[in-house]
Amino acid sequence: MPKLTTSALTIVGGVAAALTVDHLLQKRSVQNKTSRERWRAVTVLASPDAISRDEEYPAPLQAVIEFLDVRTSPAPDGVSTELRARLKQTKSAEAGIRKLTGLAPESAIRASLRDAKQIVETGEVLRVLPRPEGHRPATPGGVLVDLAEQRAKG
Amino acid sequence: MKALCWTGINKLQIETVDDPTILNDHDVIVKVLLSTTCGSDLHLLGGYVPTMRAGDVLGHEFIGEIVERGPAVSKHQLGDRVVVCSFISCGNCWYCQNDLFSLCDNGNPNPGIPEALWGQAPGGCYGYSHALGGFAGSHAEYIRVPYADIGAFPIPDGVSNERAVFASDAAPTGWMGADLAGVKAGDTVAVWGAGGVGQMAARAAMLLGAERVVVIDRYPERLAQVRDRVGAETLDYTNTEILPELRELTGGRGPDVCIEAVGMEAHKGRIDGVYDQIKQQLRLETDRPTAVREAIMAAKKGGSVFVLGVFGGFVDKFPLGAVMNKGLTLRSAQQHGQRYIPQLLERMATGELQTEHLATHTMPLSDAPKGYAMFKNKTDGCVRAVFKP
Ligand SMILES: NC(=O)c1ccc[n+]([C@@H]2O[C@H](COP(=O)([O-])OP(=O)(O)OC[C@H]3O[C@@H](n4cnc5c(N)ncnc54)[C@H](O)[C@@H]3O)[C@@H](O)[C@H]2O)c1
Ligand SMILES: [Zn+2]
Ligand SMILES: [Zn+2]
Repeated sequence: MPKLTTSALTIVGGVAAALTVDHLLQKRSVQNKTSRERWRAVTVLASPDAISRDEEYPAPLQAVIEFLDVRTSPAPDGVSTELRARLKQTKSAEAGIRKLTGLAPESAIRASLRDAKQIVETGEVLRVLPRPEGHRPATPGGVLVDLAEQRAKG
Repeated sequence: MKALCWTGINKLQIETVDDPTILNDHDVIVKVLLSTTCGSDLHLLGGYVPTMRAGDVLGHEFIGEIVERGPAVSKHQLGDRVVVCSFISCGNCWYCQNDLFSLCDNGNPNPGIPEALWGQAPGGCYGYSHALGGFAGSHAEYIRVPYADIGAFPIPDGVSNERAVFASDAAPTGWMGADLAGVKAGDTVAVWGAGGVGQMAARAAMLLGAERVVVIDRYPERLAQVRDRVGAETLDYTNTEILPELRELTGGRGPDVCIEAVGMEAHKGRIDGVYDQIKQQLRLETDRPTAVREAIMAAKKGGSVFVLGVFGGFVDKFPLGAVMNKGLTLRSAQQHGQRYIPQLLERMATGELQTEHLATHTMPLSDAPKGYAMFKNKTDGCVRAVFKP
């Protein structure tokens, strides 16, 4: 198990280091957006009308919509639709979405977009729990994987 | 029910776990008839793929009988004997609609993990770490199969269980390698690795019209299977210098298509192998790309290289100069099984595609830890250990 932890950390650490460098480089050349300002997006294989009917989005997105700006626009392929959302640029939005979902705002936004997309494309949100599983000892590596899984939609 | 669980690096145990239940309307529950080991499991078993969790049920290549059905399932009846694609794909997203099933946008409930590792997330896979969805695997009495209309296929009468089980993963993987690498009539194709995947890639290359197919490995019993059961030529890399040999075989050109079916635990032996082993153990390099390097160096100018072997992170000494200057096409993928399984089952029914020789060791599920030890160490001529729950 310690070996797994190290390998997981090495990979995640390596990627993180690379991403940080990338981020720093971008900072220099591009006007930096704060995480709050950034739009998170999914591309849905459906027309805009299939995504929102009478201004009503699929339930997982509709549930947090009061905290979000949401837009749809046709994707360049002419068939898909880009569905994007970001936190409303108000003070209360961040606290509100945290309180409602228990997630960091970016995670809550990503999860709601992904789930909304799934509902449009497949009619349901794919579940994985409860699943058959053996004994789950609380090793450090195991705790890390559990944490990663809890946040894995965001 | 009983299931084979990963309990730590190189540790496996049969445990009693809860039975799976229908969680989504498109699910079925399958009573597993046969479930086989795959080379990918070895990467999971050895801790090379992060995000395995003690208690995870292993196994992704299997057949079984449908015993329960979600309300939205329309193509299957209770009692149907089906082969299930190892990758979990929704059938409706852009990737599925474009035949790139293993890239499904919706089949992986944990997309954040692979996005952190690779930028974007592939679909899900049974028993294949939490990065690929955290789904319970098939080395168990029962398994839940999501999107059953897309991922489960009826096995034609007359195709035995032992043949059909490899239509789940090894056969479509090999077929995809040959197909997407662009194998065509008259080609010379070289395949690295004579495991289930390499053998299937070689057979696919032959059926797609290749003039000459050469498979490279070091295990005599596997190379013998390639000659006797697949009908391709072989090279043993422990007593042959592969690059000059391939050049000589191809009039100095090199193979038109090179298919790598070895993966991140390629054997050492040569200098670069030792280098990779040390770097991998120090976690300075996550994967050992020995066979990929060789495939790239061998390929003909303008040729193509397909990486079927699984890699998880970063490699060193990647011959990008050869890729660039020789104008190679480099492609790879987890298998898009849903695209190939129907035609593979037909070919199995006609006898064109035979696979049962891969199942060198069939045993009860209770012996699975022993089966994995044999498969990992390639003892007693083991090509695949296959479990009967
Ligand atoms: N792309 C996919 O969707 C997919 C699906 C299934 C398996 N795989 C991967 O394909 C690979 C092979 O799977 P398998 O089940 O056949 O595994 P396996 O372990 O049975 O076979 C691997 C073979 O490669 C040989 N080998 C090792 N180093 C070599 C080298 N340097 N040169 C030539 N041969 C070498 C080994 O001797 C062994 O026979 C694995 O990496 C597995 O993870 C990928
Ligand atoms: Zn596999
Ligand atoms: Zn899909």
